[in-house]
Amino acid sequence: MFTFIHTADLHLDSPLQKLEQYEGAPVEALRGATRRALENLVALALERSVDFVLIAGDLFDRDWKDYNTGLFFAAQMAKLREADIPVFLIGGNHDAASRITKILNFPDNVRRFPADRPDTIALDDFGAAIHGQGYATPAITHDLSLAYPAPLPGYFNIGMLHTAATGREGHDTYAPCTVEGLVAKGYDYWALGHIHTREILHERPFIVFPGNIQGRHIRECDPKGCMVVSVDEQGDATLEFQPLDVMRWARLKVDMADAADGFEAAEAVCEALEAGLETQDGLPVAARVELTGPCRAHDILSGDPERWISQIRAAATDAGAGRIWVEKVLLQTEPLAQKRKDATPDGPVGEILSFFDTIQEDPELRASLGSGLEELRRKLPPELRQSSDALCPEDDDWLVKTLARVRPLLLHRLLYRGDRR
Amino acid sequence: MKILHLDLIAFGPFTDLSLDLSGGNEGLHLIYGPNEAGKSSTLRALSQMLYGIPVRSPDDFIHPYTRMRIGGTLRRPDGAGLSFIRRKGRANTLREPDDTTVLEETELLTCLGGVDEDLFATMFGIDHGRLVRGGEEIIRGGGDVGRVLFAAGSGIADLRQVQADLQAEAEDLFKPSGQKPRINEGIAGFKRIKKAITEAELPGREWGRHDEALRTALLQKADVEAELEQKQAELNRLERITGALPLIARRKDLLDAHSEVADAVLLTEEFSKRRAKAFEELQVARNLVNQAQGNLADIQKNREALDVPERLLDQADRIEAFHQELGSHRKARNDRPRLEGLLSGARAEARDILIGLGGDRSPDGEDLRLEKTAVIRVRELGGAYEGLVARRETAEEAIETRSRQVKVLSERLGETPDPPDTTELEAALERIRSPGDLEDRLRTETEEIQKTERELHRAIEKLPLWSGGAAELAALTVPPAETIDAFETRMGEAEESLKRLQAEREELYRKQAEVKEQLHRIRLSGDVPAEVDLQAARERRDEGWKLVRTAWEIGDYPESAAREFIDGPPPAMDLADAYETSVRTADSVADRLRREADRVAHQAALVAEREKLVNRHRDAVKRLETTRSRSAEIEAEWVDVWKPAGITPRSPREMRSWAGRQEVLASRITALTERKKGADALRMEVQKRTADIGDALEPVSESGSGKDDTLTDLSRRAKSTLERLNRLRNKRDQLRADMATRETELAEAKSRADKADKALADWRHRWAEALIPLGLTPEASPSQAEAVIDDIKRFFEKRKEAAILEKRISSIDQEVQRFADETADFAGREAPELADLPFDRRVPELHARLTRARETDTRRQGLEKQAIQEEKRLNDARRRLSEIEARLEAMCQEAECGTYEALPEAEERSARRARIEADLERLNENLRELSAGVPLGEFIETASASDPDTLPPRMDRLTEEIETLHTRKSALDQTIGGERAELAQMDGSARAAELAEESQSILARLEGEVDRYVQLRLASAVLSQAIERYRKKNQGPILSRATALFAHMTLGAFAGLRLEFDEHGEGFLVGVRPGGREIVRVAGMSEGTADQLYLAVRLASLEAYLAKNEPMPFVVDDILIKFDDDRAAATLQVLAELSGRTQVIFFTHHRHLMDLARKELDEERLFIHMLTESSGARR
Repeated sequence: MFTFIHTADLHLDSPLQKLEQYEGAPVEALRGATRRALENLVALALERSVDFVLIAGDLFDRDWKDYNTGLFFAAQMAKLREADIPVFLIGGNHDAASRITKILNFPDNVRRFPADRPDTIALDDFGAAIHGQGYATPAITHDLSLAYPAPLPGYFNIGMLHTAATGREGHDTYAPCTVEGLVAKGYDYWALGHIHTREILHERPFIVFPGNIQGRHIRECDPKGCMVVSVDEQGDATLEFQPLDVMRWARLKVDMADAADGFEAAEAVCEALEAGLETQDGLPVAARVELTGPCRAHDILSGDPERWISQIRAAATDAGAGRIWVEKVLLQTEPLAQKRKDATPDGPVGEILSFFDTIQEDPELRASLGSGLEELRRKLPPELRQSSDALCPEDDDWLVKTLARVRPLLLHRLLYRGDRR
Repeated sequence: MKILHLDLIAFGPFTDLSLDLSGGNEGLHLIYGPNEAGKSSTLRALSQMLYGIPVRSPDDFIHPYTRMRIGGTLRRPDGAGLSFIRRKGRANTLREPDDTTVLEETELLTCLGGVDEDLFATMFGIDHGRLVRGGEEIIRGGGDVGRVLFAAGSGIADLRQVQADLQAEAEDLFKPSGQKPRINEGIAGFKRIKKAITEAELPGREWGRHDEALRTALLQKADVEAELEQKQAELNRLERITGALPLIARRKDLLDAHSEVADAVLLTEEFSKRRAKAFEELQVARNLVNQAQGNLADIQKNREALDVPERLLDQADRIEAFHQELGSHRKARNDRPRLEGLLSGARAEARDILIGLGGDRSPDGEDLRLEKTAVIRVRELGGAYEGLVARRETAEEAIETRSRQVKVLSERLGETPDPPDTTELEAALERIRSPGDLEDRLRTETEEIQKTERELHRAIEKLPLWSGGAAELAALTVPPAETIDAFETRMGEAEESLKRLQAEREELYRKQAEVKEQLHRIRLSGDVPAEVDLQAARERRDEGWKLVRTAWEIGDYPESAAREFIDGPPPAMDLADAYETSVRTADSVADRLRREADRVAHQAALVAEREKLVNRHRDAVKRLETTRSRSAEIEAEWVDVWKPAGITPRSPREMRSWAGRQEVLASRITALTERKKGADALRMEVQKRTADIGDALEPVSESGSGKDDTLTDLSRRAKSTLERLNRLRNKRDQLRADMATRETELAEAKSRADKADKALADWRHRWAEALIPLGLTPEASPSQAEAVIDDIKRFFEKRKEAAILEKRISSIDQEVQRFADETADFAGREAPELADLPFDRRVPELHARLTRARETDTRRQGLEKQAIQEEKRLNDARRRLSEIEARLEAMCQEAECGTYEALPEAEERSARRARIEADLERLNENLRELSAGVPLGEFIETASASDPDTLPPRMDRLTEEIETLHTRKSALDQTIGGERAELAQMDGSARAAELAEESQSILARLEGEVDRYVQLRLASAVLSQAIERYRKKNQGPILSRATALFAHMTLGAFAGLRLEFDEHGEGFLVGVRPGGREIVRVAGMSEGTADQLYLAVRLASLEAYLAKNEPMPFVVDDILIKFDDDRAAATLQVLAELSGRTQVIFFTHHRHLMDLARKELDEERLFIHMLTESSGARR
């Protein structure tokens, strides 16, 4: 009978986070990812000739001020207008805070629901009724759905709502609501937004988070895209997920059990990356590689992490044919059980080892070591001070973890001589 | 822990090499391996046995990875042994000695006391490089005591460098006040990019502002454009009216002018052209008529003036005939006197000739006429006379010449003798073609034969074993080469076996001597018992026993036998003694045989050897004899073979060469004999030829034969004789032939003379007869006769000539008369006034008059022709004139004119009317344009109604207003363009977004660098504190021990070490000279001394460690190579002392260190192992 696209959380021009450029990184492949995801959305709508498009909030990041982003969005919507595809929007928490959303001149095929009250748009051509309400302020803490109108009889009723539902980790709990409450509304489809992870909360009626359209950091792995919803004569909806993203994020744990040295470790990582690439629809991948498990290579890797991370990145560049960006390499290997020392030997090296033991037990000693880093911390930009685990000298847990990594580094530097391996 | 065995089962260059390191309490094990012996592999094996073989091993060049094995046996801390095999692999690389059962790594770990591979290599290993670096680092660090202790204690020679690296790398990343370090730079870069983002951002309100401005401007522009349009229209209208006013005025003028010519017939321009052309043609035609009429009148007048004499013209032919005839008459009349002259000349000549001939001739001379035949006869005879006379003279001359020649020839023939016969001589010479060759050949052959004979003679003299002559030698019978070869082989074989046997004999003799010498030596070192000795001793004992038993059983014994027994050897007192001695001797011999079995066996072997040698020697001598006699037999046979030749032969080899020479000589002798025979034959031939020639020469030569001449001389002489005689004979023959020819010629000449005489006589007779008609005597010569004949002929010719001339003169006279009469008659009729003139003037006058009459007639004919032409032209002109007048008449009708003279005026009026009408039309057109669609009349009315004086000010005002509006419009256009451009730039650019992505990249990099910095800083801090802690704990005891070691190793150059403090209270080490007063800072120490300082602290630290911990082997790799021998010895002593507490394994490439250790160290402590082939350590 009719088909529509349900999407949300475009967060247009939100950058891919913390991707360090390095020699061989596929910079071009990843540039402007959110824009190209939106282009994919438009292309999909045109290709499928959908009847309308729903965007359930969060077009732009709240702090993003570049009106160009809005213009780009408007231009994309204009393409849909040319194909007579209407777009229905509700404002999300980011939009409420965004200056762009406020002043943007949307093409006339884009209809926005009001923020002060729920509204209903009846599409008589298809027999569909869309109910929705946007955010008046960034933080809506009450259940907006309660005030939504009753379903229009004889219509396929769709509710658009930007909500955290019952709450999801990493997302502010805005416009909370319950599945039961939504089901009780009697609508046929709830087009939700806000939560970036795709999730179907309920079927018949469908309550759907389509997730965002492009992952922007390592916590947004998995394919990202939209829901293509087909409604038949009986009013039964069929859902189809369509990926729109242009690159993927992936975490890769690689067991180093067989690696006897750094080169074998790099090789193992490459193999894992190649295997991992195959599941990513041919898209470029920003991968976080975690090297785990007890292995002979542990001492070598942790003794000179910088070198081996570069080595792994270089190997990944060769293996990935321009598709792999090694976002980060986490060295989390352990020494082989049989090499663990039962006793700390005497002598200067023993002194270092026992000093490390002392440090592990003495928070004050740790704090005093950490105080030497305060100077750097003060100079760091707020983006790093706030949200990084690179430097938190006042955090004792961080100090414990960091000093544990210092130990092999120091021993390696003192004892390792290249001529033995 | 102690390493008891290191088994290099399959590792590096080694296969199954076992090093036994168990010696000593702990032991200083010096492992000596020269270059290439595998010292480095052994060093690696030591560590890899304990800790595993690395993934990538260089020691697989003989044994592949899968086969690499290192075996080891350790002494565990509890004293028990642990044997195992280490293989290469990823897991379970430790096995029981059976190389199958897996051994848990923990078994081994208990032996290692927490010392891992790195620590083992660093703390329990030292090589030359690290020693030197340790020394250098002490100097660089200024002797900082904490570092010295820590570095030497741990074996980390480059501790200071590690610290410096940590510091430097951290500072590369971050400095609190820096710009350049990467983190500082990253932070700055991040700030910059944030700023760039802000700049690249397009604020939304700015877009709104531009959008609003654009809209407003567009609206305003529309208003301005409307107003502009309206004003412009009014202005245009006024401008049109202004433009129309002068036109309207002019229009009125034109309309007035038009009314004057409104009735004018409108003529075309072509009409005017036509009319003008007609006028022109009219004028031309009139002129033509006038001219033709004038011409006609002139012609008529001229014709009338002409008078033509018609009669004269009618007689023109006669007058012409007269005129022509006149010429010939005048000529004939002029010739006549000359002809009369000729006539009288001819007559006179004829008369003269007649007189010349003489005689009485008739004046007409008719009797002189001669017959033709008579003249011919005279001329023939006259012609023949000369020939006859000449023939007679020629014949007489020939007779005279030949007679003289015959006479001379017969005289010369009489002088020439007849030569003798030479046939015999020629035949003799013919037989030898080249006598010189023959003699030369004979001479050469003879010489060569002599030379060859001499050479042969010498060669024969030189031939050994031969004293006979050449012929005998040639005939000599010599044994054939095969026989000689056979003898040589046989004799050579015999010789060879002789030599071999002699050598064998000598060798055997030498061996015998050797055996003898050995036997002698054995015996020198004491009597060697032999089996025979034992036999003898036992026999003697048994003999004694028999006596004793006899005595014992019977109570008595045979005295003599007993006596003999008792006496000999060795003599005894009585039987008992003797028996006892014999028993002891036998036992002693048996004992010795047993005890000295080796010697006995040796001796026995030597004795056996000697016997064998003696036998072989004997045998060899026998075989030598046999061979010698055989050899002699062969030689005898050899001599026999040569007996027939009468020669005592030398060795076959020599004789083979001799026989060869003999054979050559024999063949040369034979060849020489042959040549001699040939030479003899040649000589005979020469003698025979010489005799032949001599005999033939004898009779013909004045000088005789000369018997002693050689063949060559003789034959040369014979040849010259022969040639001379032949020349003589030829000459005589020639003379005779000449003589015969001349005599014949003389006879012929005489006959010719006779014939000529006869012919001449005949001629004279006939000549006399022929001269009669001429009236001459016979004596007259032919020339005279000829002259008479000519004169007669000329006379008749002249006569004929005179007759012809007479006739011509009379005919001229008649002709002239006839002409004169005829012309006079004509003139009498036609022109009487001329009749009296002589005919030669009358005829020309008539002719002149005729010519003039003809000219007049010609002129008259010309005039008549002209008159006809002029008539024709006149008619043409008149026709043309009437035609033109008709045309003009028609044009007059067209232009409504009475006469054609009025035509030009009609044309002028027509033109004026047309001009005015055209102007009016143009004017109306202009006005219509200005009226902009309003009907013309209406427009003119409106325009005429407006006030021309108010128009300009109204227009000026409008123009100003329009200009203002334009300015406003263009300002608005600019605004619109600007705003549009602004908005176009706001195209949804991703620049800010890209910068944001870049900022994320910087953040990510910063994060990594911060992490790195943190680790480096923490590592650096921990290390510094650890060093300090270690120093505090260990400074005292280690320094005091190090002092002692340092003093020892520097051989007392330093008394020890001392701790000094700088102004910050930091302790540093200095060296103390003996006496304690002088201190030497490390910076002032030589490199070697610094090395020893490092080593002293190193060993002191190790000792301190050993005091509290399970010992670990201390592996020393060639650290002494730069020490002098004394300090090296001192250091070795220190190491030896250390080996009392832990195993010291000392590797070296240098033999002198091994020797030095042997010399200096206690045997109990030093154990030397060699990795060389010769040592046998390597299997």
